[in-house]
Amino acid sequence: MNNVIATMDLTKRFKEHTVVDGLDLLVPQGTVYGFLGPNGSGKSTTMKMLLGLTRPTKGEIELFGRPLTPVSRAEILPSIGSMIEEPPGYGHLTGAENMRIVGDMLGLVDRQIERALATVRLTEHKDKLVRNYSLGMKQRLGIAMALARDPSLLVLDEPTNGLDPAGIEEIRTLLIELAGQGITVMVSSHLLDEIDKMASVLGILANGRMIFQGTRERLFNQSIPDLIIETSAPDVALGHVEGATVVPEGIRLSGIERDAAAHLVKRLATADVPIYGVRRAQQSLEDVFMDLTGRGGLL
Amino acid sequence: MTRGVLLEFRKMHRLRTLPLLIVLVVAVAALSSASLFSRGAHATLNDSSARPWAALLLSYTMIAAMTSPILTAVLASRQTDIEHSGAGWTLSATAGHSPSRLCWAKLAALALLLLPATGVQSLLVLGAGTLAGITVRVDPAPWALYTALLYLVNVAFCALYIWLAARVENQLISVGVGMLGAFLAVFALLIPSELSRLIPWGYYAVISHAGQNGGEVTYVSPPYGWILGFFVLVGSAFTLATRHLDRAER
Repeated sequence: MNNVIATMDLTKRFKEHTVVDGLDLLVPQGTVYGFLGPNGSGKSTTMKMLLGLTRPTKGEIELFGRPLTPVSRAEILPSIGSMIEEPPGYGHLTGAENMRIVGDMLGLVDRQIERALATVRLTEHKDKLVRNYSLGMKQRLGIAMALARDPSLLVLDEPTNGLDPAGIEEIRTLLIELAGQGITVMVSSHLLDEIDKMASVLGILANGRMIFQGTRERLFNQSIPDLIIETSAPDVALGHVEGATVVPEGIRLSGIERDAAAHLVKRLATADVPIYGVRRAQQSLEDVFMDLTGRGGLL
Repeated sequence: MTRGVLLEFRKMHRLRTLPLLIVLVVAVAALSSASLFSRGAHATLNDSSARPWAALLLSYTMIAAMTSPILTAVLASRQTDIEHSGAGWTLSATAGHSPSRLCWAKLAALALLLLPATGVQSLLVLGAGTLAGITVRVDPAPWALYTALLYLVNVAFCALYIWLAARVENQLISVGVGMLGAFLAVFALLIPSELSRLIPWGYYAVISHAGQNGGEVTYVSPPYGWILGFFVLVGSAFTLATRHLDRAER
């Protein structure tokens, strides 16, 4: 599979503070790439570097197989739709007037603008002033502006930020639809749940470093789910194992591998602890994420 | 660049730029010529030795110095603030338009608006003079030269305020500097021209083509070399400062 985005040792420092540290990013073509990380982990800075809005301190960026340089940027940019940090839109103008500005900026035809507005379901609100839009409508307008140029790559920074569950679901469905049309979507979020439902490839950033990159399945394989031992005598069980916590069903242990689990069950059974069941806890992406990032300031 | 300027005109929609400009142009013309309609003024209107047109030009210069810095600051601030509130800097950058290009487009658009506005303003003052009953023949050269220089000084300050409004998100700073500039411009009319040249807003006074000489109002010739130097300096500073905006990381 071709990579639409590839970075090599991408680094950004602001004075002494390293915001992005040696990032090797690979975004395969036609996927929804979920770029996860806590607030301040370097997601927006990385995206800005990919768009040429911020200069890297070190490292290289390749977009569509071409190194990103000031010359190539001008040629590549028309293929990239983006929304960084906050949705753009002049509040004193209507949605349609804003779209016309984007159209004039990029030399687009009316059909492209109308299609982009229809895709984000804003056609019937296009004549309202943007300052009267809800946050969800502003986000959708921002996405329409990114889509109007018929991009091959969409780079969206927290597009669901501040949206209600219905708005989040709407954007999620839209992005999945766009990926279905062959557009590569790179979407950042600190909301694990929504990324879990739309991304086929994940990149997890913590303190500016990539701590995981790959498919959702690979991510789950990297993490050991907690072991739950169902017992009516958790106090007795605690005397035979270290680091366990009491849960309604019995006790719960983290980081116990297969062989260690077998030994543990044997030890408890030998100590006459009544064991009614042994199972692995259901893992959400959030659990895996927390596990990988050491529960450092995540939502 | 033409596309950029047209975009700026699109963005002006509902910013009330044109009504604001019209109100101020009419107000400047009215204030400049108000003294013509006083009772005492009638006696001098037909007296060529009293140089009523030069006196009117001096009055116009003072009112323009008082109002133009505020007008240009407000126009520049309104046109630039929308980029902060609408995330326009990023939107333009992702379309390949750098902040410096955006600032130049804003300057060009406002300069295009100020051109007829300054011309009409001078014509209104001249019209008011005629309406008031000045029968002495007008000398068009000082009026034309002053109008041209007033326009260019306005454009120069527009550049300064656009840069300031782009650099500092709080628009009170840009408009506040404009108000301070108005005070300095009027103050500069009261001090020797040698000192006015050293104050940026002093150029509203330096370009004056009328002055007082021993209690009489006469046409004067401003120091064109200094004025040209001021324009070159502002042009260079704007070019450098807006390029610096391109390097700034938002």
